[in-house]
Amino acid sequence: MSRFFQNVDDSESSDSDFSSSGSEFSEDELQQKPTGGAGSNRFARAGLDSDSDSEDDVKRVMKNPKEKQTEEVVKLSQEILKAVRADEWGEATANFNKLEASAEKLKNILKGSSLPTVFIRCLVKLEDCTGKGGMSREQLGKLNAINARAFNKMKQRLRKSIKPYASDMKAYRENPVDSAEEDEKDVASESEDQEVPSRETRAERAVPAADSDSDDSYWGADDSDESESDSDDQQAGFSRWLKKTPTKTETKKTKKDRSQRSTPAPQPAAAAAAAADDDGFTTVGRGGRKVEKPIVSAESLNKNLLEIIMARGRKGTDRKETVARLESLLDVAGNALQQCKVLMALASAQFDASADLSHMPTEKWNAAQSTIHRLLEVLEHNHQISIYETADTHDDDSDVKYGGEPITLRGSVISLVERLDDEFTRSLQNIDPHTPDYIDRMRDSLPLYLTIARAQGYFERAEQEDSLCRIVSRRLAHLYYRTDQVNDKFEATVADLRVSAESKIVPPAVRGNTEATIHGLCTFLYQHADPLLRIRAMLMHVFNHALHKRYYIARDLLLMSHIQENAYQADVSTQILYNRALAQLGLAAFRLGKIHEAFEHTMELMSSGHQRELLAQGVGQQRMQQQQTFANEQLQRQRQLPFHININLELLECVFLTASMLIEIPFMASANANPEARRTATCRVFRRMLDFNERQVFLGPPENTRDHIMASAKALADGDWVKSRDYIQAIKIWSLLPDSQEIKDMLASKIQVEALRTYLFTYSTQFEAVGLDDLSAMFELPRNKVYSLLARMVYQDELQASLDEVSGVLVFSPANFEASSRLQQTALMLSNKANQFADINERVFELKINGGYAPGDRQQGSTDQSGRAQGNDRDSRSNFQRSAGGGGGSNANGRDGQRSRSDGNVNANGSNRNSNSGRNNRRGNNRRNARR
Amino acid sequence: MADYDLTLRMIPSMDRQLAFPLLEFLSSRKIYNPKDVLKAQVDLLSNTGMVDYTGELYKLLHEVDELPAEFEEKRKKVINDLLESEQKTKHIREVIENPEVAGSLRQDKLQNMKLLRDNYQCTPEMVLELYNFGQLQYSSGNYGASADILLHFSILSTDPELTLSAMWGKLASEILFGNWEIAYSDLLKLRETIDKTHFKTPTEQLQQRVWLLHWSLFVFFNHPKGRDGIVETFMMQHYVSTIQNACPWMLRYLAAAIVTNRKKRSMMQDLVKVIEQVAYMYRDPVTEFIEALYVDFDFDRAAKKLEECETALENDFFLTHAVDDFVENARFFFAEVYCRIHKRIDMTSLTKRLNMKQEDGKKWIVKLIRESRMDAKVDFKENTVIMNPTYNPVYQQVIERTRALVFRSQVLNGAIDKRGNSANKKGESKSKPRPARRHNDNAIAAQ
Repeated sequence: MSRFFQNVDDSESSDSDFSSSGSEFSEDELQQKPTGGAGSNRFARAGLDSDSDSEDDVKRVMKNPKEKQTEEVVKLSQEILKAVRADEWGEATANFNKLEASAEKLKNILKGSSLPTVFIRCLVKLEDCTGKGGMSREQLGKLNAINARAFNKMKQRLRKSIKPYASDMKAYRENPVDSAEEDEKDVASESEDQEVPSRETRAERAVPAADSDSDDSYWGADDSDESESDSDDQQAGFSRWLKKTPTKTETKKTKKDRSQRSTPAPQPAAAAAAAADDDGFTTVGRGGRKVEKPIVSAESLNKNLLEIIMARGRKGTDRKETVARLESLLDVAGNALQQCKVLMALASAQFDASADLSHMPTEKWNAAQSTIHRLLEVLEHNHQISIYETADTHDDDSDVKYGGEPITLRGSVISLVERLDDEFTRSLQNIDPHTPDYIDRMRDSLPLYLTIARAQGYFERAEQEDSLCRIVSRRLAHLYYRTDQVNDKFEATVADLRVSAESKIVPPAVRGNTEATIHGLCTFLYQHADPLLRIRAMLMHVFNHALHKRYYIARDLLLMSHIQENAYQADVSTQILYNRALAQLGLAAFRLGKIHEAFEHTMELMSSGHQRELLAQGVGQQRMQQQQTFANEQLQRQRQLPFHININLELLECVFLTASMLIEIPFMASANANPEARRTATCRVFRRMLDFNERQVFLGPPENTRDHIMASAKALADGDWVKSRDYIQAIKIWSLLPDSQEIKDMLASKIQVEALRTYLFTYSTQFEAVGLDDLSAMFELPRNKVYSLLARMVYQDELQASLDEVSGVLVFSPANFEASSRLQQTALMLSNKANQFADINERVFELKINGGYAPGDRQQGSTDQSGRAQGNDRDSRSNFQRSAGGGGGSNANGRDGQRSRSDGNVNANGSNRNSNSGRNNRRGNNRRNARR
Repeated sequence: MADYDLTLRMIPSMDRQLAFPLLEFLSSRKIYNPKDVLKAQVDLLSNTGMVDYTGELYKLLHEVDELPAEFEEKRKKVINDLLESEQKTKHIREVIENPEVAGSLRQDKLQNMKLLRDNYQCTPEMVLELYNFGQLQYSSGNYGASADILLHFSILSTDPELTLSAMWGKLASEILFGNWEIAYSDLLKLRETIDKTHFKTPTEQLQQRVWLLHWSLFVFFNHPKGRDGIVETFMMQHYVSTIQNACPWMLRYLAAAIVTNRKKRSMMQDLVKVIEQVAYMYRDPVTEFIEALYVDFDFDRAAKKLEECETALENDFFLTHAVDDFVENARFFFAEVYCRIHKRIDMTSLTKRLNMKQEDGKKWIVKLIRESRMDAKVDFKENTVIMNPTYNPVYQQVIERTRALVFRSQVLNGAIDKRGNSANKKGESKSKPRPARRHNDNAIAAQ
């Protein structure tokens, strides 16, 4: 089977937007694709290989079956589509059976390359219709029995048969062609394309095989003759290729011929496509090979540049050569205007050159960086040139004589700089962070930062607000996660820049003061940027404040911005930023010794079990039940933050667990002593770990952070604060925090206090009175501290005790001893249970009569098993009634059930009824509460 | 002394003329250099229409007898403006003061405007001029007149922004006029308007609220029911957050109001929370006293802060009259917390902490015990107070909890019976009796 053929077809169906022009493009593309090597250079082969004839033979033989099958598939697909539209499922199923068979055949013939679009479209349509939401139950109900059965059959069949085409369908979904017109066009181009190969071969044969000096010559010729029409001055340069005119013109003729032939196609769309095709074809040829021509001058620069720009993005453009060409153009660029033009094109070409790699190689990146740098430099020196995305293009030759008058160019500096930044991030994502490569790469962040600062200067001067906001946001993103010490170095370099002297956002006065710089950047964004950038700026500001232990400022900023309320509607990267800000805030609170705050900020994050995903710091373990698609995972990888930006997860966990320990252990102790206390853990994660730890048969000395904290927690629960402190202080990870010794001391004093509290809770039933001095000695706390602690516990009713000022003891009230008696505790519990029981009875009674609760609404209070069972019972009943219609309202009203029954019958309106019952529901609750 | 002075922080949120009494008070207290205060006063008044008074102060400040010529010019201008404006508004004022017109005015402002235009030839411009006239009157210190005029304006005007502004003007006039009763109701009206009005930005609303808080101090500390009003207003959710965000110093007044108002004792816990939250950005002796007492339970510090409070409050324009009241009530709170925590109290140390003499202290404590009906006894031999903390024995608890059960179950049972009967009679629902019976069983079991 001929590769040649497949290629033709491949391009046809996959590039549906290129329609009939596909064949040429695919060929050109294949020249570059390493995979397409075998069948790549059609022309070279035609010229050099002797088997060109055999190729033709194959084609002639194979032409018929393929054509036949394709036609058949297309026809059937269209019929199915028609049937589906008319809801004629019986017909559709029958056709689908046939289609499946012929598609199978066609697939065999095409061997691997994709099938006609219309077929894929048909499948997609079918899947949409049969899949979820494609057809509601009601719609289905409307179909008659035969149709419905056929529909179900189709649904099952489709699921099986669709699999082999899944990828095609996906591609189609991403780029749907949905109008009927396209359909027909498809068919038209289909038929047209079948002619193409033969025509091509004819053309090939017309080109003598002797045209063997090089491909280039061929291409060059091709090229020049096409450009004849538009450029005369280049002819000189082409003259040596002109010798080959005979062959060239012939090809040209054939091509012209072809395009003419395709032009009078009946559909205007097809005609347009053909025209586009013609245009596209010529430029491709040029862009690909023109580098060979060394003669470029300032005068012709514009033309060259235009050609290159036109060729950009076309298949068949050799990107590396484009870069080389542009570089040579840059050498001849006469003035600033031309330089700007070339530099912009060069930068985008440099990015293009490595677009299909996972990330840009460092040297390429550096080249791009220096290009952009140069561009900014030119712009800095030529204030009269400004670049706008919406400006007019200047393609005339007048810029040779450019004399420095103000001028606008079309282009986008911001997108270049952003791209540079993105590429940098991408490369960091791809380099293993534990290698020296990573550090080497990190060195480039300084030049990058300089570029951004310069670009900011440019935008500020050019007063391009939108771009300025974006660049400021980028700059902030480079600053916010680092401490001032690190940033100071960056800022010092920036301060040397010429532009920074003129900046209003970061006035020279604050130079060297990173805090003020960040503040300036953020303030600018708050005032000018759109909401998304503003939120991001806010979060980065919060993060930075928190990093520098300015907890209150950070917290207030976060609270006042109301981000929390709508963070969950934001896009993923903003959510990640929000999570990071929250985590950092938690760390800041911890560093200040605000254990409760630290706990609250980190709890949500840490108890989710998805810390890695939430902070975009690595992909978490794949769960079996949650099968992530490849694309999803890919996306997640793209979002990953580079390693140096990461928040240390172990540290975060350590902070969280330590905070939980300090909160949870005294709480547990007080819950044990007091039978009335609620027993649910405030921190489930910690409790679970502790339980697990206690269940261990053999416990070695603590090794990791978690072990240490567990050991410390156990010591704390025993009241052994020294041991607890030592365990906590032995954790190595504290050294990652800037003021680790302070933190250790803070933790020690917290542990002392909590140990005292735990001790009192645990042994309150055993003591009649405790001396303050003894406690003070035991926990090495000053007496007045112990005193105020005890006072607080007494005042807040945590301890049933009171202080005796004269003798300096804490006297426990007799209630403690009573509470210690098993019998009395049980009696209390029993009375509680009885109360609950009565409550539930009342509630159930009210439900039976009041009915119409929304399911789940009532379960909030019931803790008892029987209550829940009753609730379920009721729920199912009310559902039944609702579906039965009519009498559903009868239960709506409690006391005046009689009246409401008639209401319910009169009121056929369901929503009305619901609101009724809701109101009564509330009233029922009120009544119950009042009775209590 | 000047440490706890809030005047500087408050003036930005006050009207010029409202700030004047504050400055006058400052000059009487001699906390600052009198020259400076005087200069501030002159600066303050220089933009108002009270040219004569400003001139006097100017003379005092510069110790001269003659005034610069600009004063005379300004004086003329002010009088001219006044006269002119008076002329312009003469017609409309006459119309409005006509009782017939006043009677026919309705709620609907557009309707009113139409009525005035059709029947009395009043144009919107004339109404607007009314506003200007009111402003001029206010500016030259004629508060009674300005209050009247602005009231008329706010009734007639259809422009919500100017109406609001007129309401502010009216409030200021009433405050400066000393008409506390009306000022109080104006204040409440204004509060309502601010809460209801939809402002362009939240900041604007915040700004309005900040003003309201500041201006309200005049009213609340002068009106007999003001102590209740201030607690109510300041503890509203919106105003708590306003205080936290924009003017934490208002906490001093809130705290003082709560302390001096024993009826609002239940607010103390909320107040403590707020004070704790803003402690990082604002503290003064009053908030620190409360913090020491209710957060740290550090009685020594609380006693020390109470002493500081006295001096701080004496130098506060609004609280200077309430110092004794405050100290007395603060002692009460102090003693309350102290008694609640302790079983046996040494009277000497308590009186010392309360900053009282031994004998007075004893009397005070006895009085306190009697008044608050605490279960406590004084032991004069040991010189202690012995508290009898009440506690709830377990059996008492069990009795209390189960007491109502029988009654509740009976009620339930009766209800079920009634329901079952009526359901049977109707014969309408077949599923009803079954669950009903089950509940009977449950109810019996519960009994």
